[in-house]
Amino acid sequence: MFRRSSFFTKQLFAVLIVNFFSLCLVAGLLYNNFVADYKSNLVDVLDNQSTLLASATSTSVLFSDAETTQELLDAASKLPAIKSAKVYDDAYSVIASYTMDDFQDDISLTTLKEGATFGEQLIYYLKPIEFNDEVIGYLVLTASITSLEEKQQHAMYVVLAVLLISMLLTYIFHWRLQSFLSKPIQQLISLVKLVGSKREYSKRIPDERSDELGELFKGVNHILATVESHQTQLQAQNTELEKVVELRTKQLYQRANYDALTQLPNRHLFVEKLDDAVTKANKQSSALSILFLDLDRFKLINDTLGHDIGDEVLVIVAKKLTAIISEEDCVCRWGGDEFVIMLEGVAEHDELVALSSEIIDSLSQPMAIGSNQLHISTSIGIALHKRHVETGIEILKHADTSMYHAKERGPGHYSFFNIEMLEESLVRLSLESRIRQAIKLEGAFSLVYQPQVCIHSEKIIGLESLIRWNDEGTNIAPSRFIPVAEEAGLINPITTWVLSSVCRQIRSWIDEGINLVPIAINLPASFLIQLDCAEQIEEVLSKYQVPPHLLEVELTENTFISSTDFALTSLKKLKKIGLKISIDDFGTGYSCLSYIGTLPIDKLKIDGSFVTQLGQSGSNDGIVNTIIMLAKSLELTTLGECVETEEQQRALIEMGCDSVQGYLHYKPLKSSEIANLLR
Amino acid sequence: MLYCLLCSHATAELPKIDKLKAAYMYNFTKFITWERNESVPTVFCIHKNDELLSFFDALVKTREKEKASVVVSDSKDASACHMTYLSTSDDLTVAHLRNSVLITESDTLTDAAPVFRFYTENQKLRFEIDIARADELDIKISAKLLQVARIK
Repeated sequence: MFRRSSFFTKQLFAVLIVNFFSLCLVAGLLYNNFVADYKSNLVDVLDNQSTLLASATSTSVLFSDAETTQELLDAASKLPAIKSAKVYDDAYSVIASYTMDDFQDDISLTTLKEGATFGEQLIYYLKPIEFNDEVIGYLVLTASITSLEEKQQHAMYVVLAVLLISMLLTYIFHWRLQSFLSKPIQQLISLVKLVGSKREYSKRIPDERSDELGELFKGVNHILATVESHQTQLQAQNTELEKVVELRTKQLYQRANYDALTQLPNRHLFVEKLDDAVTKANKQSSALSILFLDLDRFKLINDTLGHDIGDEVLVIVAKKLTAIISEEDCVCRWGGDEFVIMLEGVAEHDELVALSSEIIDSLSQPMAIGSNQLHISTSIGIALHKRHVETGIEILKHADTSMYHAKERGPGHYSFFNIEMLEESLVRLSLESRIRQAIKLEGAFSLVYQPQVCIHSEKIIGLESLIRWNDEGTNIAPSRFIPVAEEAGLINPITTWVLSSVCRQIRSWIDEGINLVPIAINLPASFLIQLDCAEQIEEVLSKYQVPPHLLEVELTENTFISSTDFALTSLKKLKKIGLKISIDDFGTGYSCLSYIGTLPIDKLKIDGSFVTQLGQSGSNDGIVNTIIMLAKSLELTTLGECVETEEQQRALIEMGCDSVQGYLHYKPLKSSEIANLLR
Repeated sequence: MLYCLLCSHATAELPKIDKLKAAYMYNFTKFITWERNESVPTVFCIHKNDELLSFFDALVKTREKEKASVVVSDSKDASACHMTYLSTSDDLTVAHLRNSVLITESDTLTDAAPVFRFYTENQKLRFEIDIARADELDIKISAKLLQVARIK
């Protein structure tokens, strides 16, 4: 109870205890002193009275005058407290006595001592009666001490009353005084509570006092000032931190949702927007279209000109796309060289065609990046949202699929999605999976060789190795699986296999003593642009100890269109090793003729489509003628592909072509058949 | 009561009453002052009573060991007596006793009036004082003594 009391109460209690103790002590002393005084007074009164009586009766006692003595004693009866008075002679015989009516006294003189003797409710006073310094008798006064008891009781009541009043006054005085003294402490406590609960460190307590409390208040104010200062600093730091956090949050949001390079929404944000748009389209039956863009041959630019250039291309593309689409539409960088455009409220075929054409045209414009003049194109897959059928991801898949179809049609095309594409896509995926397995398996791929013959002597002057794939008993044409392998990034492993197989075959034939002619392999652009392309080929040649002049590489014309320094460097290295280099399917691409002259090549292989149409179209014949003339002017040999008739061969002879390849002479043959031919 | 102190000294013949008188007389000296004779001891004469004289003398000597304020004398030997006890109603043949403070129990004294006169009342010894005579003799008697005496 006491422990839970306030400090104020405890202090008041402690002070009151001390004061009450003192008061009780004083009251006790006063009471005792009062009683002693009264007793003393009583004794003094008796002493005086007895002295007077003794003196008065001395003569009568001296002369044994009982009568006079009695008269004198009777006079003492007027004293109120006196109960009895007796005079004895020196032989202890009573001479005279006076006794109040109701008083019985049986005290013996011999039991009394001189002076006062207190009995029960009585006081006896023995006074010797003297004459000339001789005791001639004794006077005994008996008085009631009832008055003393009454006085004691009265004194006790008075003292108790005074004590109680003093205690009450002490309590009130101390309570008031302590309230007054502890008021500043209460103010301090209130301040501490306020600061503790509401954190208002700006509050202060008046510290004008010059006592210890003043020092304490100054100390508290100083602490509060320090805390306030720290709080202000903390607040400032917090504000700064909050700003930094806000900034970082924005940056994080930006990084999480926007592409750092192009500042376009990234895949994550776009999917969210697409889902919202699909929900909205489903709800409002509004139109929604997706355009999936993939830059053609961008990887080539990245790999050959470097990522910095590639990044600049992507930024320019992003700006162009943003400029073309309206503010309501959304364009995002899906990843790599892929962009996705979401068009809300657009589903008209013509409108989408016009927009796709505008994008293709815009991106086809040459881009001047540094010292490079780059030509890029894009393929666009278009998918429309069908109500309550597709999710956002499904629409994207559809657009992606249709984009691949557009790519198959060549650079700079667009394609609308239809359900058949999905099926083809599935077939394509299946094919891709089987190619991956075939690469790992032994004997899935095989090679055939088609001889190339001199157009004049009809002697075999070379062989072109051609890959064949037997997929669990089914022969799959290269025209079908090579593009898939290229798209899936599987063409390089296949090329490596072809290179190794051809070299191993050459080694075998050399070992068999066969008089060999150069054997060509098709080298895709992706293989050529590898930094260690020449080193890989040299390593294989070295492994099988194949003379370099027996290996020829055929490159497609498109490889050179996007040719970069890497490709050119690789070509020069191959040429230096001693390999022959020819351009396959020449005439179908868009080769810059002046650029052809700078390449380290040996042969142009005229595309079979021109050869097949020889004699049927003047312009076609003119192209072939021109190619042959160009080759001659560049001191290159020429070869006509797909020669199937004598007429075609005659025309080529007339035009000055050097060699031919085709079913007119040989179809692709197995290695054993070639060995027989060359022996 | 004082006479009891002298019981062993006094003669056996002296009656109790005389002893008591002796004691009273000694005490009278303490209550009387002579205005003309302050310095000398009080001469107390006993007239014609040798037993009492010797008793009284012994009494006084017993009481006043250090300084004698009372001198006991036979009346025939003294030239002047401040106080004199007359045991009988004898005529005062001696003239110098006439101006003495006389103490007697006789009520027939004619030559001179006594100041103190013993008498018996209720079988107790009492005394009477003649204030007029005291005034004539130019003595002062204490009021205390007057209080216990019968005034004539």
